[in-house]
Amino acid sequence: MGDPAMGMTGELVKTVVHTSVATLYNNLVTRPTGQAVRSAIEAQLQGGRGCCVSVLDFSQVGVLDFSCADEVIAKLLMKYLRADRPSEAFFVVQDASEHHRDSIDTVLRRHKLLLVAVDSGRPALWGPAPVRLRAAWNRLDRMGRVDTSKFASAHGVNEATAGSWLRRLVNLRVAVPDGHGSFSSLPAALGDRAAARSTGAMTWRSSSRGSSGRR
Amino acid sequence: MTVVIPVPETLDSRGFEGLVAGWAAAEGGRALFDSRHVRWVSPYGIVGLLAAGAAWQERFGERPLLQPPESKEVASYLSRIHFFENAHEIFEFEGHVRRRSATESDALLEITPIRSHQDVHDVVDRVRERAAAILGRRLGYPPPAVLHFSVILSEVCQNIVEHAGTDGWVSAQTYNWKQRLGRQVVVIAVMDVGMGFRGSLAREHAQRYGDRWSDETALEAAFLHGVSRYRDPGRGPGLQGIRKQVTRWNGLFTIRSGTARIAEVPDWIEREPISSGLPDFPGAQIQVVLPQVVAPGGGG
Repeated sequence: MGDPAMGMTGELVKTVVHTSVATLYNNLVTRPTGQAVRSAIEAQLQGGRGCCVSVLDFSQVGVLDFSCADEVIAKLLMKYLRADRPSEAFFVVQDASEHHRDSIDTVLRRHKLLLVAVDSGRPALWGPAPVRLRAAWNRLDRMGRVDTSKFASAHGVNEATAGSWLRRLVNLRVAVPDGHGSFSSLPAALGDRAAARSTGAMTWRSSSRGSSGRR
Repeated sequence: MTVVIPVPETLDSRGFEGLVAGWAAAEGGRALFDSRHVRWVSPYGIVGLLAAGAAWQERFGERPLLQPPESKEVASYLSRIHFFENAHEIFEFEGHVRRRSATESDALLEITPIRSHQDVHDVVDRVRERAAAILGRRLGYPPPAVLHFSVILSEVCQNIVEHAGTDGWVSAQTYNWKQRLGRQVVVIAVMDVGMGFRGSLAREHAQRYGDRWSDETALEAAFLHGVSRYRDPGRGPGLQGIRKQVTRWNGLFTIRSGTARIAEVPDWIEREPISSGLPDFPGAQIQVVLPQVVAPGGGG
């Protein structure tokens, strides 16, 4: 189902698991199907240490109904938002169509969840984010890895406010902290990792932005 | 004693109400559903006839009789859409009918029993090619509409598996709705004769409503507020999602359950958004009507 690429360098992201969510079924309909797909994704994340990003590839998915989107996406996000989450996993949706987005967005709104999506290299924040929080995420995503002070200055707020925004984005699992006061959006963190390894594994990121603005 | 239940000549959603009125008024005995004079059927009406037969059996424990339509055209159509194949599990027949037509149906989806999640998968897999042809070429919908249509189909069918507590049926067909709309429409009909919305939601929600708990309030709770019988907060987005999509396409979406009916009503039809005091009928009867897209300037 997936292709774990283990990383042991000092990147923000230690592991990237690329998962084609259509391996079990092409049409993702019904709750039992969603539960099976979610279980398969979770199995791939078992035993992982450090920050792991699971890239959920929707390019082969046909129909995605609301029930299945709830089981695959919403329940997965909620489990890994909890304090007792099994591991430090983050999720990014890749190559989802407008139709998939409709179904996913419906369940994100129902549960008040946020999710990072990347389509043709363009990162976006899905879900019911308040305007200012969305603006903060967009800025963080543009800046790459950044500390609170730089983010505060770029965003025109004081450091305390900037820190609060960044922590909130981390708590919502759409940004990653490096543990030394810097933060990165999920796509930027993946871009960093790809650039550091020069493997081209995350070309969607580097092809869209280049490496300028990255530390 | 045999109770004759006349099946209206025009067996559409209005005809179904006439059928239900006869069904509800009967007080038991051997039922004979007399459909000899049926001249026209919609997916909702014909699935409704199966539901009425099944509900009779459930209510009185006796297999009803069915007199098939005399019109060869109607009988042939019913064979093609697998009506008789499904009806043989519910009715005893007066006279011989061909269970299945030798000719292919042009229905979007023939009458199909829904008993499990796998049936829902099969329906979605099966309907895709035909939906692309019908929605795209005949009704003018853009290509992604096929996927949205499949979601609607999947969610309404899952309603049976998840909530009815019994089996049900689905059918979809396109036809020219000249009188009401002057355009082609695609109609999805999904029915069961299970516990209905009031029964399904009662354990979790009836207490909150107190004396106001009824078929009407149960439908409102599910249709307008997205509540579910399950405590899982993720349950319930299906109907909301269907409403949103049907509204986007200027379609009609109705659910009848027990003595009430609720609807998302487009501008091209006169209908109350909510009706109560209808003849009591078990389960849930869902109809989605999607009209042909009118190109700017009025063309079809």
